Amino acid sequence: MTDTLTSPAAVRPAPERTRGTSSGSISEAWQALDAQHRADRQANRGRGFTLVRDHHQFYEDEFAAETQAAARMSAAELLDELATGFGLAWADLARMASVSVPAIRKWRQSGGVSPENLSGLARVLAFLRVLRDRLNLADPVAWLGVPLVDGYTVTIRHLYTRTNVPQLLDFAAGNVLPTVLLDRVEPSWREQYVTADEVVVFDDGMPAIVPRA
Amino acid sequence: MAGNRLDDLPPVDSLYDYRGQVPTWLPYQQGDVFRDVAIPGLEPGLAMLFMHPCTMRQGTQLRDRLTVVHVKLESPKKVLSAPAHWSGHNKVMPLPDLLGDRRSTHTADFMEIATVTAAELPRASRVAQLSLTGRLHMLHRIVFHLTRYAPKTDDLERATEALELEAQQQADWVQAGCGDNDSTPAERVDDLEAEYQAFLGASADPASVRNLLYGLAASQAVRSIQQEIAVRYPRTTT
Repeated sequence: MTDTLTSPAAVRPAPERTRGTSSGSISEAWQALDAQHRADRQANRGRGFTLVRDHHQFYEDEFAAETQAAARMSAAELLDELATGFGLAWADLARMASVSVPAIRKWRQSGGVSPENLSGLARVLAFLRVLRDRLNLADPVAWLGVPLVDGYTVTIRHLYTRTNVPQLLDFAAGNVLPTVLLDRVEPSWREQYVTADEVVVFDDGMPAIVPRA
Repeated sequence: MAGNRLDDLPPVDSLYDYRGQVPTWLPYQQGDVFRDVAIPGLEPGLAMLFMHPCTMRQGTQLRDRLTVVHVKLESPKKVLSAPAHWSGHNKVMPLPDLLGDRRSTHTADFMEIATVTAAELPRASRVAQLSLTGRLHMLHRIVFHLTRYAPKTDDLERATEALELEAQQQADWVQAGCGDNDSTPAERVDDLEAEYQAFLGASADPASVRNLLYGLAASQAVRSIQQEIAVRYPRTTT
C-alpha cells in the first residue's frame, strides 16, 4: 500500500532530539533568525514612519504655497472667493479661523483685518483650494460637514486647525481610515462626540433629532 | 456634556454676535433680546424672542403675536461668566454682560414665557443677538427645561443647520442691499427680506434655491445666493 499523508502509516513519531551542542546551535540559529525578523520589521516600521512623514510634508508644502498665494489677496477678495467660489458659510469660517461672524462681515464691507486674522482666512482658503484642485474633491465645503463615524457627531469642521491640516489632507486623499485620523488628532473623540441621537428628515420635510435606530 | 449636567456656559465673548447697537438689517432670530417690551402683568423691560425662525413668520412677515421670555437682572455689579456659577440653574438662559457694559448679568427666565404683539418687537429695539454658539446653548437649555432631555449641541446644530444658513445668507443679502447702513429703516429691510425670500423660491419647486439650501447641495445654494448679491448690490468699497 502506498502511504499517503492521510494514512495512519504516514503519522510517524518525530525523531528524538539529542541534547547538547547541536541543540544550542539550533537555538542560536533560531534566535538569529528571530532577531533578523525583528530588525527587518523595525527597519520597515522606521521606513513606514519616514514615508508617512514625507507624505505629510508633501501636503504641508502644497498647503503652505497656497497659503502664501492667498495671503496676497485682500480680505474682501478672500471672503468673496470663500463665499461665491466655495459656498462656505460664515459660521463655519468663523469657527475654522477662530474669529466672529460680525468681524467677517465688517472685513468684507470695509476691511480693517489684522495680519494675523488675514493669515487665518488665507489658510482656510488654501485648505479648500488644495482639497478641490489637488485632491479633486468636487465640493470641499460639503465634505467638511460630513460626520466621520456613524454614531459620533465629529466632522472635519471640528478637527480643522492649522497644525492638523497635513493629517486632514492625508485623510481626504484616502490614505487613512477616519478612526485612524481621529486617534491621531483627537484621541478623546469617542467620549467627546458619541451621540445617542441622529438627525433625520421628519414627516414635515424638516430635519429632526430622534433616537438612533 | 458630563453625563449628569448641562453643557458648560460658553465664554461670554462667544455667546453674542451683537450687543448694544444691533444692525437693523439682521434677520429676527430666536434669542434676540429687545428693550421696552410690555409683557402682560409686568413693567416694560427686556424680553427674549422665544419662537423658532420657522414658526415666528407668516410668509415673510412676523406673526401678529409672538412668544417671548422675560429677561431679568441677575446682578447689577458682576459679570457672572464662570460656568460653575450656573451649575443647577437649569430654568434660565444665563446672559452675562448682555448689554456689553462689562458689569452686569441678566437671565432669560424660562418660567416666565408670554405672548406679545409683533409691534412690541421693532428691529430698532433689539439690544442683543446671540451667536450661533449662544443660540445652540439656549436651545440645549430650553429643550432640557421643557423635557428633561439634554440633546448634544452638535445634534442641535445639525438639525438647525439649514435654517441658520438661510438666515446668514439673508443677513448678507439685506446688509448689501442696505449699503451696510446699520440704521436702515424697517420698511426697506422688510422689502429686501421679501426680495431675498422670492429669490430662494418655493419649497414646492424642486429646482428652487431654497430646496438646494435645505437639501444636499447647501454650498451650491450659498454660491448662487452670494453671486446674486454681488450682481445686485456690488460693493463700492473694499
